[in-house]
Amino acid sequence: MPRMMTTLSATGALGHEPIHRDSFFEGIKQPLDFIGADAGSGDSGPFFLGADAPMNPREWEEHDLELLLCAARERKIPMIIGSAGGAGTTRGVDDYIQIIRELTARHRLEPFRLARITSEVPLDYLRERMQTEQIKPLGAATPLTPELLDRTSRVVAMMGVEPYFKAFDLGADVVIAGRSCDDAIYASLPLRAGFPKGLSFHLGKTLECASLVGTPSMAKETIVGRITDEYVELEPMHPAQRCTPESVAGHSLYERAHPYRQAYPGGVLDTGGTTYEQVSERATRYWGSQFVEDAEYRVKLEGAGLVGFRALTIGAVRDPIAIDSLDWVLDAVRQRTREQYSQLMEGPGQDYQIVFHQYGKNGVMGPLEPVKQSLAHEICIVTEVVARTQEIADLVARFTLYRLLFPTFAGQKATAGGIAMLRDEVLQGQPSYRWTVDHLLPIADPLALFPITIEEIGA
Amino acid sequence: MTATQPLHRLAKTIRSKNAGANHFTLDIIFDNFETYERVRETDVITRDLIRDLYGVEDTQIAQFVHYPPGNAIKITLRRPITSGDVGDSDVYGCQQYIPLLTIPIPWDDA
Repeated sequence: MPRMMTTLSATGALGHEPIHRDSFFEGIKQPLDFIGADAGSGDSGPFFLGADAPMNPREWEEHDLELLLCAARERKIPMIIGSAGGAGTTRGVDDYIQIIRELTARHRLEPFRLARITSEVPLDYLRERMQTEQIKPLGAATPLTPELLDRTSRVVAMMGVEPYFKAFDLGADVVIAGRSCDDAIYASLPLRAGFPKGLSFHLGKTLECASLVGTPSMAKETIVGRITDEYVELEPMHPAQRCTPESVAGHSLYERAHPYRQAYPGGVLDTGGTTYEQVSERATRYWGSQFVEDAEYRVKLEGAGLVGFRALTIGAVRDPIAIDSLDWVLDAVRQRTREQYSQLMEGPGQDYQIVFHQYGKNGVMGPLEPVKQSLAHEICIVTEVVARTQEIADLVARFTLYRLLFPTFAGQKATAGGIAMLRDEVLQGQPSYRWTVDHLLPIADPLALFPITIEEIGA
Repeated sequence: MTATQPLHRLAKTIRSKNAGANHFTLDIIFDNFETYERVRETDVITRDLIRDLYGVEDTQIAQFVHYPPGNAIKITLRRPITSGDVGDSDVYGCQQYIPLLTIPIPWDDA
């Protein structure tokens, strides 16, 4: 009997929507060696990192953590949570640890060792590094500059498997980690046990989104993964779902730039030569995945900074004559606003920005919209204003709304109002943040940016 | 004249999603290798076509890759606006696949 490790993934975004329980309870009947969950994503935009704001309702995070923690402690197997809180900030990690403490007390769990791994990178550390070397872009347009850092509120680094190794070396039973490569969550324990690197990372890659790897597509259902020295096998726990060679290979495409090369700290997983095979009605097995080591160990940096404060208005135009002239009308509104509020502007006019989202025209695709002539009989205009202060944002948004109420355009018949306002009010959105850092940082020691502490919890 | 089928009739999945903050990625996935291969052989879906459909420069096409094990074609484009920045209206980048749906593919036994 070849050696095997078994794990499960119940969610690809802990707390983002509660885990579905039935398939989870099926999953924990398996002979599990550990339980993992990824809590993070950059897909929700830069706000959560920049503002250090929770991505999910605490109740849902508690719901998911309770299921996972109780199952793991009952079986005395490790539990690993990466990218705590969504953005993986220190506050996110500590919020989860607080939930774990409360759950441990509530369920009177036996004592266990909890590892806390953080991933925020001090801005001064990056300033210092930049004095002697160039920090190269990953997705960003340019290398990191002091100006970009000046506009950055917070940076996290994405950890690889090594901080997890260290946590287990220190005897951790439960690991709550900051920003993490999703796949490292599931790859770390198999790798530490000596399973092949390519298979371990590929296990992580296919498990990190839970049931999205199966067919038909489902979210928040549990998938069980098994790794041996020869292959990985995936089996969904929802009775109506299957893992097929197409669904597993197809999942490699999801949310990634390249279909069969995925970069991690320290190397690249190449699944170009992977073979997938259906081994039972619902399980698929694969092998042949290779991990190609990099010469240099680099981690991805994610950083976000405050742009300004946001005000929104919502209204719609139904008048076909106005719709024909809408671009012209909106340009005129923008122009009038500039004239009226030029005294608010400092410097090169960046004190406030006005964006008219024209739903029904090109509100979704913007400059990429191939339909140039809208056929819509009504167009919703969401006006988004971002300014240096909330007061300026509110003022400018209100002004644009009233300019839209009384527009002037060719062929105009109606003179009593040009926009149907959803409400005559200005909505305050969350402050506006921007991704500022999307770069790669070489580090000599894979643990360098990820401080680890261990504490005993329970009883 | 050769009959055509719109791509959405031939593909199982056509989708878009962020690939990091600065790119979104387009996936065209077919049910089986035969359909994938047949569409590929028509040579209709090319970098040039994507450039024209989205009105972008070639330099904005970060990846254009065929992926036979997944019966898929994957295209990654640089976003005109970084995800969530002022002016962006698709934070997840999940509604950017629309121009692909109606690509006419020569399909004689339509």
